[in-house]
Amino acid sequence: MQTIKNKMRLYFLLVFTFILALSCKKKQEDLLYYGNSKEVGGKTIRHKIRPFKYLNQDSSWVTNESLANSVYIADFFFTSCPSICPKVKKQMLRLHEHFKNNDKVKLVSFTIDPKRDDVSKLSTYAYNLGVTSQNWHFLTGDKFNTLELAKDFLVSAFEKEDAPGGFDHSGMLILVDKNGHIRASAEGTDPESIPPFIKKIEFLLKSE
Amino acid sequence: MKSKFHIFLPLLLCLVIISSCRDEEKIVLQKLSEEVISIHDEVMPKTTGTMHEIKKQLSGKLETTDSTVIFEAIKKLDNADEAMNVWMQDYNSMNDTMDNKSRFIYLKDELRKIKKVRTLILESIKEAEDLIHKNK
Repeated sequence: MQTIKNKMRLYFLLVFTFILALSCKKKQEDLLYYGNSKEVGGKTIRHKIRPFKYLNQDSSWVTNESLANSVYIADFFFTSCPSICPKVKKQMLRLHEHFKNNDKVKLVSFTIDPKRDDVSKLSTYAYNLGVTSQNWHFLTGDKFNTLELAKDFLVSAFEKEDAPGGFDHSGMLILVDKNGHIRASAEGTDPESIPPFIKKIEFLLKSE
Repeated sequence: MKSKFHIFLPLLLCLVIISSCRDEEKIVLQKLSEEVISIHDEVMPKTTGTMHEIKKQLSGKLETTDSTVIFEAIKKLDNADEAMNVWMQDYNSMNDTMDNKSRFIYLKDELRKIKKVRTLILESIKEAEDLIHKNK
């Protein structure tokens, strides 16, 4: 009888410890929605990337609709950028390596120098970077529209007034969900910002 | 033995002097390269930020202001933007593979060019801002 009682005590202790451990485990917090939201007719209208249509390095059209079945990571660059873009592209390559076999994740790089970065130039650029997957689009289109689009991504088109010396390039990587909402960002020049960013991308994939 | 020592010492001294000169050259080249890139980093973002916004403001004044003056200001902004893009396209970021003498000449020339681009950018912004201010 005493043995059964002891076993029961032990059993309860184990269950209690298990419940305690579960409740202590840090939950992954849901990803935020970036940008301003509006309340219209009792409905929340969240900030969204406007519709766009660009040519990629294979001369195929890429639109927000063609990306609607996947989440995507966007950045703004140009092939002749001598300082910041090579650093950002290194981190984009890490993301490309990690997700290249996952069709649910796309990488989208918009050039802000379409005059020089035409389809052929982007194709060579992608080849030289060693991009083998169809999941990384290098996009070219009207410069004015691209600079306006950059604002939707909450990227101040390479200009950051709070940077030391007044201005700096912006190398932000922006995570966009299937509905066109921005859900996370990472500093593209900082290798340490990539692992937590990958976790956020994976979390978004699971939650969508 | 003594005579060998007499030859060895001056040779060693020469080697030390040559090697320290080369280090100094490398430092000078490094600084020069940083100066070129820092001028680029200072003004290039203005071409996609400030200048883009100013052009939008200028276009908004076309109906109320002399369009020739507005178009002239926009043209100057575009020319400055294009000058930066051409400079970036032509700049050889692999210039550290050149020999020291050629690299020094190359970087000095690039410094002169990027300073000229900076002047074009800053002047075009100033002129456009003055025009906007005058026609408020």
